[in-house]
Amino acid sequence: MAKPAPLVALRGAGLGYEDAVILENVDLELRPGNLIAIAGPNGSGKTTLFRTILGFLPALSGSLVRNCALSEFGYVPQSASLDSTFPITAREVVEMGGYGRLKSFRGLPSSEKRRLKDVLQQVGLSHLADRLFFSLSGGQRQRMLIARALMVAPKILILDEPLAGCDPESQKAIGDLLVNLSERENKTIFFSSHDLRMVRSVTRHVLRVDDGRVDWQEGALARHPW
Amino acid sequence: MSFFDVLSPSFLLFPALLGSAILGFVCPLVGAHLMLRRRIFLGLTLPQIAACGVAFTFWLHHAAGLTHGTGGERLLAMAGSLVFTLAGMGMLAYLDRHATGSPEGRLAAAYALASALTLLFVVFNPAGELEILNLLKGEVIALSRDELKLLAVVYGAVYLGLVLFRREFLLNSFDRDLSFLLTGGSGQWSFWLYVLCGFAIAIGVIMAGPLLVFGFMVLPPLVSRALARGMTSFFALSSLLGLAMALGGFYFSVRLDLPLGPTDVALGCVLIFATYVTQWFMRKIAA
Repeated sequence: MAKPAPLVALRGAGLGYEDAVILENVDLELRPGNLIAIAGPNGSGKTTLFRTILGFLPALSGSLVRNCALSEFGYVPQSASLDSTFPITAREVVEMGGYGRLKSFRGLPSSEKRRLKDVLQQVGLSHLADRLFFSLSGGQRQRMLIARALMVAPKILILDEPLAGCDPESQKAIGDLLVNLSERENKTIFFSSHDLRMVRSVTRHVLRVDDGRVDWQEGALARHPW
Repeated sequence: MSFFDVLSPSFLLFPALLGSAILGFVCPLVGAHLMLRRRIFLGLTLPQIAACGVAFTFWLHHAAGLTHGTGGERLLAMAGSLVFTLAGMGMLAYLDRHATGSPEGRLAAAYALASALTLLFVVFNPAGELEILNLLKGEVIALSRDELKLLAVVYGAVYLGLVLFRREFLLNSFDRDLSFLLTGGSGQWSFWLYVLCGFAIAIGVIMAGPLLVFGFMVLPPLVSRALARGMTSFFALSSLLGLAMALGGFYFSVRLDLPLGPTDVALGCVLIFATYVTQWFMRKIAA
């Protein structure tokens, strides 16, 4: 059977900012159904890699090919990067994932309301939908952000440190959710963590980023998981 | 004179009351958006820059040898307010992108410069002194019917823009990255939000002065932030509190013969104090 085409392919890519190359010669393919983690110390370039894949930063060299629209990426930022000034409810945060499909100045159609209910059930937090987002625990906030990313109806999920700042119970719930989404819904999932032990509990397909290079982690599945 | 006598359409100062109510209803919505973007000091600096634009045009009018109150002076002042506000906003946005240093520091410096220039323009133009003094005190009492119509049209458009595109503005303020992914460009929504804010501030300042505009932009959202349970209630409550502040302030201003701007702002501060004290007591009781 032919391999499905990669949704994202980086070949010999140099990543970083105008005046500073952070990662060099990155080769990476993300195919449908992959559950891949990237582990490395803080500041090693994990977020730079994500931001390049998502189009916030250009690749400085090499090539980056996306076989899906940017609006088909479900992005989960670190919840600490969001501003707690907003008196926003969890429901309103999750709804945002559907904004790309909605026409300006129209109410939320019933199809979106159903989808909202479904994704909240999927992350197991329907009962917290009307609570203020920033009154939730770190793990609950993270799961709400995953629900928001699912609301996009994404082909690929990119999660920046989804396990950071969560208690062990939440880490397990999030890990199980990611495995579930990958195995049952064939979602492509690419997530980062600075904790290798934690990453290994979720997937065997682990990339290691350090000293400006990205390599498959020894002991993980041989070279490519597909 | 009762509260309802003041609200009656037959009341002599009814246009001023309507103007005040429009400002009180719309400015808090503008301020709420700036507050969410942590740009609330723009709400202080831009009205001052607008006032500087007004003072500049009064001076220009005087320097051209025209008599005070003639030759489209008011229209010129409106243009000055708008041009200075939009130029100031553009300049601050440019510096935010390209300059190093703290944005708060830049806003403070811009505020100081605009205040100083306003006073200097007034010094050079004694005829405009009374007009500027009224502007700074926030006197909407002298609002004419034509000015009221202009205020209603501009503020109606600003309010409509903020309500119709609330989702885009909210997403752009809350998570610019997601806004980029879903709408294909986050910069355009920031641009349109600031344009709406700029128009509201420029027209508001020429009608009511910087103190009243800033007061309406900041105080109701501060109270609302403490009470709201969601973004819809935050925005709606901000506008309603602003309206209450405008009507209450107007009544006390007429009843006690006080200048409107400071009366409104003082009432807003009382609201904030009462809200925080009530919340403190509620927390104590709950504990």
